[in-house]
Amino acid sequence: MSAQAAVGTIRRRRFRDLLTNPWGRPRFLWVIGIAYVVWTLVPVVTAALFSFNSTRSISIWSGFSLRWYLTDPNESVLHDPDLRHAVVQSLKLATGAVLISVPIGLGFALALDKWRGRGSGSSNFVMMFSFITPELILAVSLFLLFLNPFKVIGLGTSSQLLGLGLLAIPYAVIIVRSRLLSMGVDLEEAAMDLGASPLQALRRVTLPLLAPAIFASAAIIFAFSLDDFVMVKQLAKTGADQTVAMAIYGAARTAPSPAVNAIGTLMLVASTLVIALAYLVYRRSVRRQGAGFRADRDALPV
Amino acid sequence: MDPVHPKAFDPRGLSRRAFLRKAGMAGVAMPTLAAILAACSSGAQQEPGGGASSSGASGSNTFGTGGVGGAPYPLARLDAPVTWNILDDNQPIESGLEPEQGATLKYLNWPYYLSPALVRAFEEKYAKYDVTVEKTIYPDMAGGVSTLRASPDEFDVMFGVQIYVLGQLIAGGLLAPLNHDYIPNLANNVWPALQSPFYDQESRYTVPFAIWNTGIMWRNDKVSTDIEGMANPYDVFWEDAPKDKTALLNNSRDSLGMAMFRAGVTDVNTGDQATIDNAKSDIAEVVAATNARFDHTDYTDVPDGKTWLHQSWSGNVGSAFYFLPEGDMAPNISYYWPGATDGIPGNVDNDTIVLIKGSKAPVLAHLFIDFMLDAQNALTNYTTYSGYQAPMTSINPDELVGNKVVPEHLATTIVTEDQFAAGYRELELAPDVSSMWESAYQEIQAGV
Amino acid sequence: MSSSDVAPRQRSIAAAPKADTGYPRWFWPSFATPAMLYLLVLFVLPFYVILSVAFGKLDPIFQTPVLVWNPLKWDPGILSFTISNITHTDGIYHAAFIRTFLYVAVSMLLCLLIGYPFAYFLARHAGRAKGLFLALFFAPFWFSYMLRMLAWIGLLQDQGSINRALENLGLIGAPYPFLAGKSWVLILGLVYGYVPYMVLPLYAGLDRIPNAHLEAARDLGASPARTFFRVTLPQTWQAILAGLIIAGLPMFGDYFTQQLLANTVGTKMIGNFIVDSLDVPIFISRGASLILVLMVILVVPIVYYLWNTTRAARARTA
Repeated sequence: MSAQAAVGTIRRRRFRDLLTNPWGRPRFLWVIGIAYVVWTLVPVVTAALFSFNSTRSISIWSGFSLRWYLTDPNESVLHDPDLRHAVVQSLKLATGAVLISVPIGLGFALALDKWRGRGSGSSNFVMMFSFITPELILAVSLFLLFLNPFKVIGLGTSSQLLGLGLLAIPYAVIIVRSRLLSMGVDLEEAAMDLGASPLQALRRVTLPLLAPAIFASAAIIFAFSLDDFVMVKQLAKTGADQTVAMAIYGAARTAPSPAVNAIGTLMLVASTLVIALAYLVYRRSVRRQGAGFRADRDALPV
Repeated sequence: MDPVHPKAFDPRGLSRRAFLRKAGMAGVAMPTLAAILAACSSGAQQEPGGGASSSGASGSNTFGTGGVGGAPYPLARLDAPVTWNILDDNQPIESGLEPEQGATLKYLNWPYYLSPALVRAFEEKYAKYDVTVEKTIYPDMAGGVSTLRASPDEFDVMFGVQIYVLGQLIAGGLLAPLNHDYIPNLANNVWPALQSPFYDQESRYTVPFAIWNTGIMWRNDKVSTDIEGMANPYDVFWEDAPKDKTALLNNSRDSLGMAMFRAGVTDVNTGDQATIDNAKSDIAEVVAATNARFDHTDYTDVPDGKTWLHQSWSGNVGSAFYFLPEGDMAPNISYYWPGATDGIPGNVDNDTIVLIKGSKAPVLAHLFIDFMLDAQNALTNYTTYSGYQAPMTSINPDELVGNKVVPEHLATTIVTEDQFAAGYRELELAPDVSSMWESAYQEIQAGV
Repeated sequence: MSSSDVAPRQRSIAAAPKADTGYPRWFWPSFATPAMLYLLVLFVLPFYVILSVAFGKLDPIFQTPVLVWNPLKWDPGILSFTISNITHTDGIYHAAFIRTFLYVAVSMLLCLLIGYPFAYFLARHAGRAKGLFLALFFAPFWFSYMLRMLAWIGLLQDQGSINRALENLGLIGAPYPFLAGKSWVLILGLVYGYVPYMVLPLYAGLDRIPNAHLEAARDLGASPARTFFRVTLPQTWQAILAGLIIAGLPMFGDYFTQQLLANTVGTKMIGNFIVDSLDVPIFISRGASLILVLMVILVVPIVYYLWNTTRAARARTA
């Protein structure tokens, strides 16, 4: 049999195996898979599409236009200071949340990793408790905190940042910790055998190995902070604290306009790019390091 | 470029610029109007019970003289006007000061209430002081008060403050008294009757901003009832309201107040639990029958067809034009104030502009207020953006209709002098009474 | 073929560091100090603030809550008001509580029914790394909640595509009021928003099932359905539970879905009451007490989840 024919046979056999695969009903599952993807994506794509609508409607398409992004003199993203400000505020808060939560989360993960005492269990418990508590409860409790006892900080951008940090720290801890657990102590101990102090081993071996996980957690935190709603809305004070998510919510309830679809789309693009970048970096470094997703995934607390 | 927003009550046969020029030149006070309104506010109101005096005791105390008691501060009533005290640690700023340099003026406002074009014009006028103006929106009065309370040093001016929260704000030390030297437009342009209103004699802390009445807005192509012809127009909500297409205003005073008016009760500042309970069950009836929503987005919902019958403030009808295509006269939208029908009570009110005590640029804040009291500017805001009538002596309601600034089929949105005199006002309540109203409203929201 | 790579030596809690480091015992735990401080001040303390507000007093002028720090001076009036309004059938919160539990239960179930097959698809048929890739790829689409809801509003409006399509097909005469307070629209909105949170733990759980098990089942003659119910499903109970909790818990705090998709009196959830009460100064304490009650109710699934997953994770990596 020629090589091509052989390949063809193997392909057909694989396809048949796929069909008769005993642990699943592949065709049915592919339908489900694709249907789910479509169901998730269609509204998002629709919303993004309508940001290019030439009239004010968000439901009736009248033609392609960059009106809401650039050309409308009063209401486009370029010309409406409120919209621009919302975009800037979202990016600011997301960046700030990353800068706050990644170092703190990293430190916590490292500490949990090496902690021998009782305290580790309980502090981990408290952190996970904050992770699983519904966001509304966290937001309202912080609202009441900044309204009265911590009036000196008050509501506004700083408290929005602190709130996002609270939400984000567990993500950093979980991702970094799962990487630590799957990495194992070998390399660190090898370094220490060669004469490095634990701190040096940390700095020169562990942290570089953790880099992809740190990067991944930064990306995830950035993406979800960009679109966070409940926390930032509760802790907002003036119009200057409005984010894209709040603007969309406000417009959706009163007077929807494609300009608001436009800023939402911009945020979507931003978070997609960040996640995609993080994923690529993560994959490449992890592959180089030899440990697979599997080990990390095993260590995830879900 | 035309500083006026292109979408608004769109005059036909008369360019907007021409009309505004004409109106500016007219500037003639309406003597009848002024006289009637002066009679209204200075003492006994012609309609009985137009302002409940809850207890006989006067409310005088540290914060002001006059009013009625029941709260830590005097409660203003039409027959018991309040003069707010100016406290030693809260004196008005000195006259003749230079405006602050490089300031960011922050103001609080309802959505779609102050024209951005006007704001830009103010920035341009005072460009040599390098002023930037920033707005913060509040969705309803309670939200506005809590925003201001949460950040008392953040803001400079607040627009659209209802008179029934003034006592709280003043007693809470949030407002600063005005120096009238900086706001000559108040004396020059505003209706004489509102120069020293019952809720703030001598206009020490407030100037008036907009006036309106609370009535009914509907799509005449979807609702065929002759609402204007009804003996009791409020009944349309109970008898003929379309399911899933009805909406009421989302605050306790307006919604419960309407039920009270329908029942013939004129004292919508009452603390009588039975009256409040009756109003509550009446509104609950409407909600149960029609799945009514509570909002004040009638200005988009009614033109869009999302709502066909909406309890509305007259100004929101004007706001709707901002969202309609150019030249659309909205023939399918109608508005009526039930108070215009014989024997039926209705609500009229005005709101105010206030100066915030924590303002970091009080001179500019005064100038901003004065800018908005300019006759031309007030007219611009009214006819091209907010749709809310400004109580300026230069604005002649008949002229507005005649010049087609206000379409004739919506002439009912204009508040005439008789209406302002005959309407019933929503006044400040004592805390325990306010709690009764809010609880009743919350029970409606809970479907109980 | 084993599903896990050759495991590097695991960092179990029992293993002590080799060298005598000379570092004090508190050295490594000190790395956790920023996190602990952060959590203490911004997570634990605010819970006490909630208690102080719920049991506190009112300011005489603004009627806003005044915190009472001393537990001996706490006033249980507001809390008893709230509880009685939840438990009595004519209470203001009664209907909303029942409704919220109903919505969440139905939504959780639907999330499971939709999420499980997709997670299964990802785990078993989209290829190893591709599965994670897809899961991650959709992260931005999970997170852009508001944009997705805005899209649905556009689609479900009277002049939206769905109504226009139905009218064009002659199925309805006038636009169907999808957004006029329909419970099922709200439930579907909740499902749409939270199903990704179901997919992730299910995917992780399903991916862990070694192919060897399934091959063995086939070798022993089990049909696909049998394999699923006797081999796959039992190994994913943990993941199902985790998914239900991770997807379901946030729904209890949801108020914005109701506001966007079904804003009427008949669909209000607990979250709506909490948020609305923050707008009226005299009712802020009521809001705080509602949160208290909600936390007490939710603490059971929360603690169960935490206990369960830490135990399971430790078992996997020890």
